[in-house]
Amino acid sequence: MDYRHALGQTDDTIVAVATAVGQGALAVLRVSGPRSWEIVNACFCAAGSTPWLQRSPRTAVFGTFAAPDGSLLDEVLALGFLAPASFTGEDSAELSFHGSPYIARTALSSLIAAGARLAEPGEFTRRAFLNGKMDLSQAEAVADLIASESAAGHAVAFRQLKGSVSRRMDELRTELIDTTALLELELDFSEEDVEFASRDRLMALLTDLQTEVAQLLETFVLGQALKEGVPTALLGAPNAGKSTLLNALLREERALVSAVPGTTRDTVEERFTAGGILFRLVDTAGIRETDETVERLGIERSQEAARRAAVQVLVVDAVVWNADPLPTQNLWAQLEAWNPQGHRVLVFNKADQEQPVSPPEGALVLSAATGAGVSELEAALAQWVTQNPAYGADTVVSHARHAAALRAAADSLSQAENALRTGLSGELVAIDLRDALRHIGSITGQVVADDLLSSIFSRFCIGK
Amino acid sequence: MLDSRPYDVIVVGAGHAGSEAAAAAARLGSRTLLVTMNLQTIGQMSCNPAMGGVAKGQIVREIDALGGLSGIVTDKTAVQFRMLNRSKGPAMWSPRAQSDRWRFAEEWRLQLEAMTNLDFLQDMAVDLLVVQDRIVGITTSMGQTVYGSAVVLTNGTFLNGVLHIGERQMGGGRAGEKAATGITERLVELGFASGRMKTGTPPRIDGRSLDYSKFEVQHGDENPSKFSYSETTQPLTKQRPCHIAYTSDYVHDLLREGFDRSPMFNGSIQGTGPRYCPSIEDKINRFADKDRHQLFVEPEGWNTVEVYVNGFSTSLPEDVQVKALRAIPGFEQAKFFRPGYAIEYDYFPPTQLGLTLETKLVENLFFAGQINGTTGYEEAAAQGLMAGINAHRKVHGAKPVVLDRSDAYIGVLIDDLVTKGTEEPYRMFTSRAEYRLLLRQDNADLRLTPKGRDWGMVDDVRWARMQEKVVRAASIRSVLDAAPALPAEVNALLESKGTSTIATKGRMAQLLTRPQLELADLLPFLELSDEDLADHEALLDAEIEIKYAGYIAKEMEHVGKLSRLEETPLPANLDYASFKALSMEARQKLAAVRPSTIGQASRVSGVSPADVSVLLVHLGR
Repeated sequence: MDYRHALGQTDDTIVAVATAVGQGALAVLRVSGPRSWEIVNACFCAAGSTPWLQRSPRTAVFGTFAAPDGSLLDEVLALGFLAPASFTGEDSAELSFHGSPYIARTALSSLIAAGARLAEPGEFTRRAFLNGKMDLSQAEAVADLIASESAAGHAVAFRQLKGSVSRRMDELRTELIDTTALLELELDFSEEDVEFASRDRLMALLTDLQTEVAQLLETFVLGQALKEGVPTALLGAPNAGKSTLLNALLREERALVSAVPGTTRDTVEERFTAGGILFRLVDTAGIRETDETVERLGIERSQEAARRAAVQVLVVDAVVWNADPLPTQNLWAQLEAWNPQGHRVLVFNKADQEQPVSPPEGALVLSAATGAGVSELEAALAQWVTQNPAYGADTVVSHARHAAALRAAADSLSQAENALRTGLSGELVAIDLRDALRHIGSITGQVVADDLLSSIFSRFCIGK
Repeated sequence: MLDSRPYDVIVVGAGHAGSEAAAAAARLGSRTLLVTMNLQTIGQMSCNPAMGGVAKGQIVREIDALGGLSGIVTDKTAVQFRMLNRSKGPAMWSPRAQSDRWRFAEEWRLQLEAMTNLDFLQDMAVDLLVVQDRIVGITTSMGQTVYGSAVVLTNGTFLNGVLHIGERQMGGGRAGEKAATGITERLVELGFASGRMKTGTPPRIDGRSLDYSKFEVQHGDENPSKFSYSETTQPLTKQRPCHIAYTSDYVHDLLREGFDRSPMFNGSIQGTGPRYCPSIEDKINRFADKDRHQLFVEPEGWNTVEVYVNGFSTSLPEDVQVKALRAIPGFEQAKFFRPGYAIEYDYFPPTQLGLTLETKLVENLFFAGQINGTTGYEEAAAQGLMAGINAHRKVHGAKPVVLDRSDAYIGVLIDDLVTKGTEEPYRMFTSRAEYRLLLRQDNADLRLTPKGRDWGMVDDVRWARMQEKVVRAASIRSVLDAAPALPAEVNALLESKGTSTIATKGRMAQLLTRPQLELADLLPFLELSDEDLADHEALLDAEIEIKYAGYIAKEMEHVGKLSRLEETPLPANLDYASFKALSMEARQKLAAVRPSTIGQASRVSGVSPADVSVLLVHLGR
């Protein structure tokens, strides 16, 4: 049976543009596979007297790169790697061109003409995984690293790449094993003269474990936000200037702005970065009672956006507030009712026209039209994120598979706690604890009976 | 004189593994020869005079359910019976019997002598005859060549056995018996890897020299049960007690004085000993803060005065043993029959075997028992039974039979051995089983007797009894499911058991799921026949199936999920070394074990879920 076939070939040489499509300062092409050096050699001519094939690996080599027709395409820096000391674990090369979609496209054609194959999506990472260069959770992190759009998202992915998730999970697994071992002790060694853990002690250990799993799960919520953008809703009465504020935050005219109240009938979603943190900003239709069908739909969507957002920015026209603060106060209460867990920010807009009279504590005053005070809002949003206790956490769970396993482990732990509370016999409680171990094991590696026994033998004197 | 025709199956060794192997092969119809160095020591209990215990008791029940003999021999020769872990759930209940050492061995011999297809030979096997990677017979120390189509090696602790007492060392397979030589050397020549293991045993004492008034007494169960499902044995009507004594700091100090002459600490013992059955010197060395250790004073039989000091296994010099033991209250005048000793012996890492216990290197050669790195009579007997059955089947062209981890502790045992190997003498624990709730001592017959019947190990009487139990348990369950629980009738009971009363009519089966209630509490409200009420096994089965239905379903679900992996075969000729995606450790271990399925591969130590993903990717799943 040719099992290798199932994978697609791994003995050919692949090529792809490694940098994002579009105009950047640089375009990097990556080549990986046994013929990497040879294929590069067909297109690349190193400057100086030492030809490319005689250059040392991991050393930058300056030279010229030829288009498929043999004409000079660009001046490039080439970097060669020899297996297994490379990202993929294979012979490979990286070529830095000047950033231009034309150059990147043409260079790709050159390399393909020389014998490389265009890589499939994720093929470099898959090769790295299959060559034992990274474990599953690291491979997942690479995918995240590539997709990360902001400095904070990048940091999460990078920490994970270095194995912090594996490490933290290993610790959690060890604690779980030790707790389970305490329970197993009284099952397998009931005849031994050792002290068995009391139910209270087990309960306390279970509670600790649950807290820990819950904390890790919280970092997932944050990790998710950092990766995809913190969902932030701009809300408020019609014509409070929400869309103008959106444009101010994005520093461009994106949303349709007009003085006619209720111009925004749909939600508009945009991303912007503040203090290195990515936000996913949702502009919404103004909230007011209305009979107009289209607008009512829009309002329902606003409500939905408010419910989903981690941060709700309530934009208030200072003029309206000064006339009567009550509608704003009602709206504020409404937001809280919609999403009690959300973080709410009160912003008085149109400060260039009127200053709010006795604004509530913590409210921000700005003018979306002139841009005055907008950077304070950005700072406040970024600060809220960085103040989250999970933000600085060494381990941020950012992959959905890990979060799902943690959630399943949390369920099993709570069932174990239930069983313990009901006074069920230890072997039944152990079933749930072993389930929890199985779930954590799906991230870290299997837990076997030997681990439990080793934990017992290292701590208790067994043997009559 | 031996039969001049070649045998179907030759079993070398007549301990627990060898006896079960020979009995099984002979019973299935193989012309079988049992070769042992000493026909007077068939079925010897070399260590403690007891069978069963937590997890081990379940194994004896399984052996019995499959038609093996250990359960029957134990029942007929027990001096005490206890069901351990009674206070826990039924999955933890574990039968244990204290045995009469001499009667136990005698009963084994009589059972074997009753086998028509079984011949005996007292001699030492010193060489194996192998032709083209296939075993064809053995040579004995008397120069005899015996031909056989299959050979089961159950050499126990005899292969190059060395006894240690203090600074003294002597060759031997057991106190007073010489070691076996030749087989290890031959196997290594054939390409087998071998290793060294160590175990120990405590002193035997003259019970007349002990002051029992200073011990705690431990009686057997008031209503003892038994091991065998068959009606050929009966529960004990009288029993002998055991006693409990304790060491002290002073005793530990005396023992420590001998440490410089201890083979454990001065490096003369190289083999790995079991962590769960340490010598007394190991215990006080590793757990220095523990100021006393429990000792069990166990009778060696009905009439003998010899006692076994369980917990005082030691290889310290004899003078130190005497001095320290006599410092224990009750042992002041103790007279030694025999000092404790440690024994080192050869074993063959069991990853060299397939799941049938046939070696991968030599066809039709099977290993069972301590030669595979296990410890314990029960573990040995279980392997002997399966090796005997599979040797017979191999010789007769029947397909191999293997128990899964969800079938039996025996399945867990053999899968662990051949998949993971073992670094220390392997003993069964319930925590080794993934499906502890399914593998209970009460349902071993329901799990295994149908298989034993298929294989030809189960007679009509046993088979009929099992079927009767199944039918009766089902009918009891349906009575419980149908019987109404009326507030007026049951609330007084519920109150007295400290559980909440019911306001509306319910069903008895529902009440039974409450932890505070047992089936016995509900019997007065149920219309069961006298036959039902007399069938305690069927009642228990019905009770457990209802009471633990939720958890049992949970475990069944896991079995179902994993069976997909267990049924995904791995090609036998897979070149693991070329899988760069596998960790180096996984590559080496998988190449050595050559698992037959993805499920087995996932249990090889050092193989991570990522490694399993790689295998699945390569298989194109």
